[in-house]
Amino acid sequence: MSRFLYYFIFLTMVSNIIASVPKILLFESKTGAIPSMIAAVIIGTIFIYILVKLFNSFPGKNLPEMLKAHTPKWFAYPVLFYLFLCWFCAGLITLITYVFLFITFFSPETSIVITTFAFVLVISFGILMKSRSMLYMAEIVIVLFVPIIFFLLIKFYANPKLDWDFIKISMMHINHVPSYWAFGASLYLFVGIADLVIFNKLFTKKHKMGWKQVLIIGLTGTAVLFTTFFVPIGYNGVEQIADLTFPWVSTSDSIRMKYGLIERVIFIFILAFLGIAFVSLLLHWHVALKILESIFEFKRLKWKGKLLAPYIFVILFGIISLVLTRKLTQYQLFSLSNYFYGSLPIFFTVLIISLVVVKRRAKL
Amino acid sequence: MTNSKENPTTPKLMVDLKEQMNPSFDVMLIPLQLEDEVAFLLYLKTAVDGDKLQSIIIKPFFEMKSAQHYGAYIQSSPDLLAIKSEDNIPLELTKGSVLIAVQQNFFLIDVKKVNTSTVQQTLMEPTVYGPQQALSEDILTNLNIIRHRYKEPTLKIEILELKDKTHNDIAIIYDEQTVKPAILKTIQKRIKELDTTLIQSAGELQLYLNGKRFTLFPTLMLTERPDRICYNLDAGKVILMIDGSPHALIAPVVFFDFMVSMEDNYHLFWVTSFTLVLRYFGLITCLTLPALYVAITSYNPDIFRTELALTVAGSRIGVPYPSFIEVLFMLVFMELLTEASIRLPKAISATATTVGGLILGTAATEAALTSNIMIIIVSAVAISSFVIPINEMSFSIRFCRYILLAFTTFFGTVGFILGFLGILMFLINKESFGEPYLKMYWKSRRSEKGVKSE
Repeated sequence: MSRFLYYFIFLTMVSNIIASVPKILLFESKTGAIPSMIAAVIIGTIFIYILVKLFNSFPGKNLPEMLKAHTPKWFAYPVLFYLFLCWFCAGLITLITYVFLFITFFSPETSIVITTFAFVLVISFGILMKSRSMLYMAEIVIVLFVPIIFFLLIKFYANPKLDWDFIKISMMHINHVPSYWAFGASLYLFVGIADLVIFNKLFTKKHKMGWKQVLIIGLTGTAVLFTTFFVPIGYNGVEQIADLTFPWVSTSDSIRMKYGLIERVIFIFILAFLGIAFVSLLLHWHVALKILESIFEFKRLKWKGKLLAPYIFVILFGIISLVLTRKLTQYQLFSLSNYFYGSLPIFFTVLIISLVVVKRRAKL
Repeated sequence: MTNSKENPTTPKLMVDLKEQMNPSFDVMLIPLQLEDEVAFLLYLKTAVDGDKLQSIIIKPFFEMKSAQHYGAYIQSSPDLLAIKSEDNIPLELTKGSVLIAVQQNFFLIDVKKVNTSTVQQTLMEPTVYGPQQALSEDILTNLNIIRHRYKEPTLKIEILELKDKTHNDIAIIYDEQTVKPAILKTIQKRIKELDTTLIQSAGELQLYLNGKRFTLFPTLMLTERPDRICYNLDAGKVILMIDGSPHALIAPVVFFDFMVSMEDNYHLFWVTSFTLVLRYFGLITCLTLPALYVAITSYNPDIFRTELALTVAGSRIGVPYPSFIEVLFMLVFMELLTEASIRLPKAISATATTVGGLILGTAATEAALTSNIMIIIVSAVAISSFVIPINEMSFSIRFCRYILLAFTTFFGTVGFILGFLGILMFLINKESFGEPYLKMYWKSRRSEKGVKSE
């Protein structure tokens, strides 16, 4: 498997911590979060396996091309539009959640519009880049930021304040029926591979997908989910954990580095995850933009030989996110993300079905 | 000489040519005559080497038995140039050739005088060990240096002539075995498409080869070191040289190339690694420190531990304006000082730096115009920007610093990180002749060998 596929998977896995995934999981910590997490790891890994295998049949092609070539229009366009919506929402949720988090913990005095605008400005430039640059960007950000995140993880696990008794208590809640929403939220960790929809164009070789790769993905997924769910419990206890709005950020504030230049770990935490959130947003919106471009081509809109459509779309993305960050409340954002995660099983099903249809038609 | 015009046997072509170039004082049309044997020379006195002309063209004429022998002698000269067309002759004459007419035959012999062939000391990229000689301003001397250092038969040198008014030669040098044909083709195409009136130096050529008008980061590398040239030839890159410039161009380049000093090849592994880490640390420092200062003092003083935050805030007591003005003020003066010390004659530049240093150092703090910490930051930034081995990159980073500063001033700490990521993205999205400018190279350890990997 190409190293970039791992990046897609791992970036989304890590970025769940600053999305609403921990909040949803901890909300259901007494009512079936653990069994749904276990289910999500198994099913998510299977989804990844199936998707990579399916994309292997079409090296060097992206999904819009495949759909347009082999399926009728009434099938291709709605599917593409649905996929676009999913990716756009994924990016939007990451963006708004991060901006809320940043405003709450980092600079409460800055206007929310200005913070969002900073994001929109850089992201707009970013998603218009070549797809290939996107991969290199992901790689460099991972190289720069993941060491910091590993350092933080060591800090989290080595701290004596982490009470394993709390974790053991919460583990008692394993004998529940899996909850659908918690399942959806945990499934978000495995959604990264779906970036192949566009990026498959860059991979002309087949990806090796054996038991080794499955094992790596499954184990990493388990580890990340374990950390996502149990570390906040270990610091904050089982009882009131469901009331925290940003369980992970609050948790990171309980650690101090006595001799560090920066004393409170929360600042390193937020800035390190800024990089991860940024790249995750970049990948999601790039895919969204490319899908949207394939739906609405607007070949007539040209200026000096350049297609104007992508620029218009990017401005639209920016305006939507600026308006929504102003309008949405914390609660609305939470329910929006909840519904989005809840729709992920459908998303995977649609993606796999459309790929299977394309594969069958192409063989006919 | 004045009567040469009346000489009935003077070939018409030569007379016409002399007419064409006439107001110039240095056009020479000389008949050589010994008994019945006649030859004519036409040349520009200021372009040719008089001694060479005397010894290889004029003297043999009087030693030969007949004009026929002389013709044969001229024909076998190693400096003989082919006459492509008659229109081409004036150009060749201005380049330093002599036109010889013997028995109705015309020959062009290259006897140009080059005053610029002295090899210079390395100025821009000095090393402690390693070769101390750089290139010269004469292309043939330079090519000789390269041939001498890189004795592979696969080394190919193509000469193209610029279409501008200098008619300078451009040499395209590459190792046939290692070069990527696609890149070579792009470069050849771009050179042939050049359409400007005057290109005088490698730096200028680089601007026109870029393909874009507004560029911030160099996509070709200027170097004066022959060892760097050979090192890059081995890595499969294309070297361009232009006559009259003591620098060569290397294409394509990646970002990491600009962080490599040739010294790295001449030292022990750990020493090299250490200096490399130091260099990247310098790069990050000079890029981010001013912006970081603004972010820390004006937006998030709470990030640092309390003692440090208090020290920084205490040092700013009495400074009458916000931190970004303070930073901008100091940075601009530092840039002025740097610029002044580059442009001034060496004798005066020492005074300029001393006076400037005094003003920036003590007086500004005592007048409460800046904080003490700002002084430290400015000097750290100034020093670390000189750590970048290739000057062009250093200039680009200097510029980027202000972009980052502006972003931080407007958007705060989030702007600082996002601006940094934005600059990264910009570099990643850039291409140098089809090669990605910035990406991680896992397989090859030596960055300048980048083109070979993948």
